[in-house]
Amino acid sequence: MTVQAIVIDDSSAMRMILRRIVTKLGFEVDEAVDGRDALDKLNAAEQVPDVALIDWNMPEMNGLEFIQAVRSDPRYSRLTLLMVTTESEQSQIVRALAAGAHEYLIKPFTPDAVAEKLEILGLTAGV
Amino acid sequence: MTEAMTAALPSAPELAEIVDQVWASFLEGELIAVPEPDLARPYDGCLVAWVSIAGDWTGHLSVVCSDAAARAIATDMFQLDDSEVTTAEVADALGEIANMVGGSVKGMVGATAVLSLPQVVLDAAALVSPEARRLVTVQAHWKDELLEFSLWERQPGNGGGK
Repeated sequence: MTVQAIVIDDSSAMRMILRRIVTKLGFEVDEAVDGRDALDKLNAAEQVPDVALIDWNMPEMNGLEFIQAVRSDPRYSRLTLLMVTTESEQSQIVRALAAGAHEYLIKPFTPDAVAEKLEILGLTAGV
Repeated sequence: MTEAMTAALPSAPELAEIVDQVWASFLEGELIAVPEPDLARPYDGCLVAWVSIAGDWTGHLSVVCSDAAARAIATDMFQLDDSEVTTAEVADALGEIANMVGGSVKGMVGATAVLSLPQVVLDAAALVSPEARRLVTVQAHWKDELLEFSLWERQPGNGGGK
């Protein structure tokens, strides 16, 4: 069964980098430019993706707001949330996890670090 | 600014290390540090990307490089040929570099600091940042191009800085 990911970041460069890494891991990857775009895609999707890789600082709706919105909607209860951000302070990590993020990855990251986080989350595409 | 706050800001070697980490994670090729940065070098033909940090400490992290270097950054990140990469993609890639380096700096400054979205100006020579003074600069060569990373501190009434 295909494992699906959505990369949510206002930087097209970062979406490209994460798409490359996660595709190599065997995932099918969609993208969104911010939290609002991601919510619109989730609402329109036939199938909720397995994991969202979420930047924090984005216009329109930031990553924390997206996580809060998703966590309050039972339709997305099975969506795994991985925050991928430059925010590295302990207090920010606590905020994200308290809001509902399942894991946290700090930029800059290596492809191995992404793979490791997805494995910790129990998400492997068998590649 | 208190000594404690001063101590939280990265030194030149620490800023260089942050840059090295970003480079190693996302870009090909080695950065070769310039031992003594030339702070008076002209910015003609250069782009500048920056993020602002606001909170207990206020300032900017800027990245200055030639158009050729910025295009090389974008082609690496997007894995495109130089002929395929657009100005928007160049700006985005350079902005993301500033975002990641600035984010690491913000992590040193403290939990109350807020990082702005990155901004990019295609003519670095035209950029003046009044009320900011340069604290730390590192320069490095990459693919025969010079890159410059600077940390600027807000200093009201400074009279402008480059």
